[in-house]
Amino acid sequence: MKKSHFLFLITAILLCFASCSKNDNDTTVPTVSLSVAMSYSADDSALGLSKENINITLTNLLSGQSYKISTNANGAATFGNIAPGRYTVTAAKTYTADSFYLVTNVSTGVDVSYNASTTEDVYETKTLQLKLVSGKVGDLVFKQLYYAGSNTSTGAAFRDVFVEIYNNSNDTIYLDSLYIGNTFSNNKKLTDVSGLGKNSFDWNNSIGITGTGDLNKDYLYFRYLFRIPGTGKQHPLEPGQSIVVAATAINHAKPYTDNSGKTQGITNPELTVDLSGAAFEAYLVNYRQSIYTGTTAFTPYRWDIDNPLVPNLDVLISNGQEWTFDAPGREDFVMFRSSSDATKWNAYPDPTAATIVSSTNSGLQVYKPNVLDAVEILTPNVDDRTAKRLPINLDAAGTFVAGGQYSSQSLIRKTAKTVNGRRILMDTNNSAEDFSTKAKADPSKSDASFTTK
Amino acid sequence: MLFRKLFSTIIPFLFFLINGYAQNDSLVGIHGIVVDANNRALSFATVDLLLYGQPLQSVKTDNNGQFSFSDLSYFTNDSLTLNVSYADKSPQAIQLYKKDYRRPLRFILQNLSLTLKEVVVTGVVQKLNSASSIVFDEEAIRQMQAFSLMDVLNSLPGRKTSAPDLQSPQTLTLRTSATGADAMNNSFGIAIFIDGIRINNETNMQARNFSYRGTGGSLVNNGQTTTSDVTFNGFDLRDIPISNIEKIEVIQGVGSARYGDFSNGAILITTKAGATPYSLTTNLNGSSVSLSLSKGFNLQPKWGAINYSLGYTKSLDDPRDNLKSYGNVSGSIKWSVAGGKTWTNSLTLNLDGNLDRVYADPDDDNQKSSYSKRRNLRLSNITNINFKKSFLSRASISFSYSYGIQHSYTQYLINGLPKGIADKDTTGVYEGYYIPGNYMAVEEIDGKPVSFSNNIDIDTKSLKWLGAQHKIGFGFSYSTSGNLGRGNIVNPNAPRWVDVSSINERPFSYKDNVDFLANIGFYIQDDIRGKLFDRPYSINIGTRWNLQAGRGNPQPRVSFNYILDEHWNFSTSYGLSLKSPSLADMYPSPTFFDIPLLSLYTGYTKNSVYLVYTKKIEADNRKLKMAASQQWEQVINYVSKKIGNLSLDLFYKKNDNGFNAFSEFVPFYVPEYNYSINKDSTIHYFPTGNQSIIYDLSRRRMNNGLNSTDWGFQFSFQSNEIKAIATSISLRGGLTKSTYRGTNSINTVASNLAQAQQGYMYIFYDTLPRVVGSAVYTISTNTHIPQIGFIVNLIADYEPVTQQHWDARNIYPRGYTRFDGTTVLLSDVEAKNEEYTILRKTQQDGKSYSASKGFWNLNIRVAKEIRKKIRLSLSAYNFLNFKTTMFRYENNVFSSYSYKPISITVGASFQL
Repeated sequence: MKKSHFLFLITAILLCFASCSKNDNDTTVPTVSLSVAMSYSADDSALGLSKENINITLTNLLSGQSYKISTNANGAATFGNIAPGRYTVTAAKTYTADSFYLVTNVSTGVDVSYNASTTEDVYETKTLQLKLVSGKVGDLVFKQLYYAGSNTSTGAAFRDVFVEIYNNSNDTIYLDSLYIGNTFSNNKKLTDVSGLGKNSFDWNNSIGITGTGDLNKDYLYFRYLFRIPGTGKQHPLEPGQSIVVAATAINHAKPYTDNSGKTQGITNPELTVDLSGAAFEAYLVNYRQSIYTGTTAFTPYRWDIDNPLVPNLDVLISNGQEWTFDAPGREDFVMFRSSSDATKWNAYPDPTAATIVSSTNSGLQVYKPNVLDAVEILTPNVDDRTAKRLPINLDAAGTFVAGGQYSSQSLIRKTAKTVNGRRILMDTNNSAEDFSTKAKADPSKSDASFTTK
Repeated sequence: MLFRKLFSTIIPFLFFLINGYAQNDSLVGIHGIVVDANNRALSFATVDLLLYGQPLQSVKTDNNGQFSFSDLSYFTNDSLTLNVSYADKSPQAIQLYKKDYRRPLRFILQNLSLTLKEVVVTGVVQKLNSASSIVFDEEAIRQMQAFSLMDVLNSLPGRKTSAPDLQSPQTLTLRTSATGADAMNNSFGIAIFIDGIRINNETNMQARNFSYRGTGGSLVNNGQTTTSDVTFNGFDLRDIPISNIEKIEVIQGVGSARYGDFSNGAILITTKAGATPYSLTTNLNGSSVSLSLSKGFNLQPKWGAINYSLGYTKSLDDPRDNLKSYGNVSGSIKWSVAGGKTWTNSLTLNLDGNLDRVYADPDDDNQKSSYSKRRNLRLSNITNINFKKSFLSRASISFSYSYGIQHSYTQYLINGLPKGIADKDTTGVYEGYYIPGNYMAVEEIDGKPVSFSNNIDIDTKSLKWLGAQHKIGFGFSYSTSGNLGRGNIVNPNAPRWVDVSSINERPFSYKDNVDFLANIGFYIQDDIRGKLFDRPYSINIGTRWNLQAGRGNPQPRVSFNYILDEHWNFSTSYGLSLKSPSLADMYPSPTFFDIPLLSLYTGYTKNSVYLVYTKKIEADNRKLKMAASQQWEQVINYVSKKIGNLSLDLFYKKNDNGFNAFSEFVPFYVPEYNYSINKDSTIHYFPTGNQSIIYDLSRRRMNNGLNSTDWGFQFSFQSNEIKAIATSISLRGGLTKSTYRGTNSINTVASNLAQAQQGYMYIFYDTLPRVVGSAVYTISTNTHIPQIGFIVNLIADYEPVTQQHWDARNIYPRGYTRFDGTTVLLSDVEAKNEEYTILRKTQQDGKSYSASKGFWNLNIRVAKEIRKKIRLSLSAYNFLNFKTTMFRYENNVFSSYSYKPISITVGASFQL
């Protein structure tokens, strides 16, 4: 072969290479980029949550390839140079209870997760708006506890007591089968000379008691326990709304209106409240009659009347003639859910009772209830304090109304934050911090009822 | 105990015989004249003729102060005793022998004074209307500085001296240590006679609905203090005025047939008659004060004498606040006139008012307050006729009318929920209504007791028959009593108690529901005197017949007295006495059970419903029998001129058919109702068709179910004065043991759940009897220095260990009633059957309580007279302030008796 043929061959090869490199544009697919702008719902934005560091995952439905990215401070993140196609975009951010509290000042007790997810066709560069949504944050809480009653001669004594239950979450909650009650705890004061007041009840001593596990730690024992009736979705409560549950649902300030319209009130109506708008009331006569085993006539307790216009709570146990609270303050309030069959719950007698007589009180035993909220009340006088009634994890420290018994004052839960008009109440499981004294109990459920006036 | 110094103590310088009267001595019996220290004739003085210490006859002096006993058969006796007494004067006694019988006698009576040699300041045992009567005369009453009769009666043997207490009703029990219902029956059975006329205590009806409260609980009080009413109980001795009392005789044993309608004793009061000086007495004790004034003056000759008296007592419970007080105002006016020696007549008007009051404490939110007002008017007339010629000796006719106003009230400010009220008084289902919950609840009872009585008593002269002297007495008594008050005034819009044991109060008017009760009595008795084995004896035998509402039973009384010698005499007595029930026992209000079927209240009455079933049950009790008491009594007397006098009483009492409140179960069926709410929020109710039985509701009824026995002894010894120390010593005491149940001997109980499930509705059980013994012994010294008019009494009471004992419970049933209505009674053997194990009660052992030791209490009384007109007295209860700490072992716990602190009464009394 001649030298000229060898040169011609090299040039041809070089030209091949040159043509290979340049003309991809005509025969290859172009890339796109996707910008994602994360945001929270209006309510959640108001909580003060930051849009930074939200993890976004992009998954190609065809190839399965996924890309991960975190947002910047504005909640924006861009997936660059991705192949066009169909993608699912998911975003998630989980706050631990502590970090959530640090940011928003709202205590939840559990981790709060925010998620967003969508399927998107990305064939060109575009921006996607994604909204993070959380599940239910928060739950039912006791908003107002009026246990002290009003003046025994000019007011309504112990008859006008009520509890107000508030939906502290961002979602509608159904009240059906909600349990509300007061535990059976040691009412003897710590300094009692008999020495019987030093410790909380040891339920191992209760005559005839049975149960698996630790009888004191795994169970709660109730002196009064009621349940809101319903099949499951009959009693919805919107977020930011509340209901009043009364011992006796009538207008205690003006309890009597005769046929001609003339009213007669108590001596000082200012001291008490109108509970005729209560959602539920406790009427115990039928229950007391069903459990009555005495030999003398069953007399319906003459102070307990039934307002037929207000639905009655289901009664699971009651040790008294009607639902009364200890006005001096040896009391607690517990709200819980339970999936177990209430008909199988048993009541066991007072663990300090040596023999059981007809007057011995008993506590209804409930295994590991799912407690939504619990508040312990203390006596104002330090010398009268009793042993701790509720475990520390349910309520770290108790509280009381400053005016003490029959003062017409109630305990009102403080507002942690207001978000778009919805109040989020403080719930750190420490009643000493979470509640203040309200000068006059107010069952009106209005905005003014949240204040301490 | 002190007999009037009988046999040889004729007091020469106070008495001398006058031979000056020109009379035909053979036709005139024992006669004489009574004058005062200024030689003025004393009319209406009482002259008693006694044979061996037992009364033969009693007359009053006429306008000229003269008296005579026309029965010439008295001359056959070897010796007689004459007692002369007069209001506000020291009584005298002389012994008459056959040679003195025809001589005119002259008695000069001195005013009561501590400067007299003889002053009797204690009760004296005498055989007047019973073998063991105890008599207190005016000097004794004054010395005791009594605020009420209770203070005088506390010196009876077997009772201990107490500080005067005017803050709660003072009821008296005699010869029993029972408590509760049996003590109430004992007290109810003690009668009070004023000048021979019985004061009625059966007309007190101040009680609320008896059905659910029984006897004690039905009396009105304000919840904190004891009640002030004594319905179902004996007299409240605070209310008996004492300003005009001359003499009191207490019968604890068997009374003569002349006195009827009492079962446990009687207090016979004699009031002052005739001219007396002004007598003003005042006593102060703590925050109690009493004043009494009495005066008698002669009208123109032949027009007789007027006696009037006024009394005032006020006592505060706590002088620092005026909250609780008792006040009493009384007045009496008496006109006595005599027609020669033939007849005397006295007409008396008594008025008294009592007020127990508790004011509302300003710090009390419920503004509790209460009061009990009692006012009484009594008009009585007694005529005594002495017969000279016929075989009759004396006739006495008396009439008495009394009218009273009693008002009990209590209030309580209620703060509660509106309540449903049932107000119909027929049986059935109906709608009641709601009342507001805040109101002033008032309980009020208005009673107007009215009674009228008439007595005729006739005594014959002594008739000789079968070797003995017979003095026959017979008589007739009629009384009728009723109550015209408005009764239990219930305002259904302001009820104090609602639905207590399912019973509510309804108004009950006494005027409309209570009939007048008539009681007719006859008696006949014979005083037989003679000699047995050459020793004198007397037998008083008689019988009484009381008819009330068709019921009548004889009440025999017999008393045998035998005088062995100058030292010893014995009496044995037996008597049966009956007591008729009170109006409150016989006319309780009907029972109303109100069972609420639906109680639905919205706050507006127009859409609220109170559906109620009322069951009305009448409570007629007119068939109640009389309560009976039988008593055996043995009295032994020893009289010694050197040592003194001793009287010992042994008694045994059996009480039956006592008035008892017991529970009676009433089963009945009640319909069930249900309701639904209409669109306009009104309520629609309807019967469900079911009915349920209610069998455990009970009501109280009254029957004659109480039985008890009391036995024991009482003694009383009075020594002569030991001249060296001018002191006489007396010992007295008594011990009583009572066995009682307090309720029916068999009681009914409703079955519990386990028993009801086996078909048993009611079960009967025995009730436990209880034995209680109590005793008090008293030593008292009496130092009297007449020269300075000074007297000191030291009274030491010793209360030994009292005992109470209960038997072990009988756990076996006596019988049962089943739901189908069959009743089965079980014998002792059947009751122990295994099939009845479920009906057995829990074992309860017998128990005994007794105090750990006895204790002493010392009291002192001092009185000094100044110039015979003024007397200053001081009494101190527990004057050494002993703090008794004695322990009682009960329920495994020691408890100590609280002590009662020293209580001083100062008083002054003037005789002008």
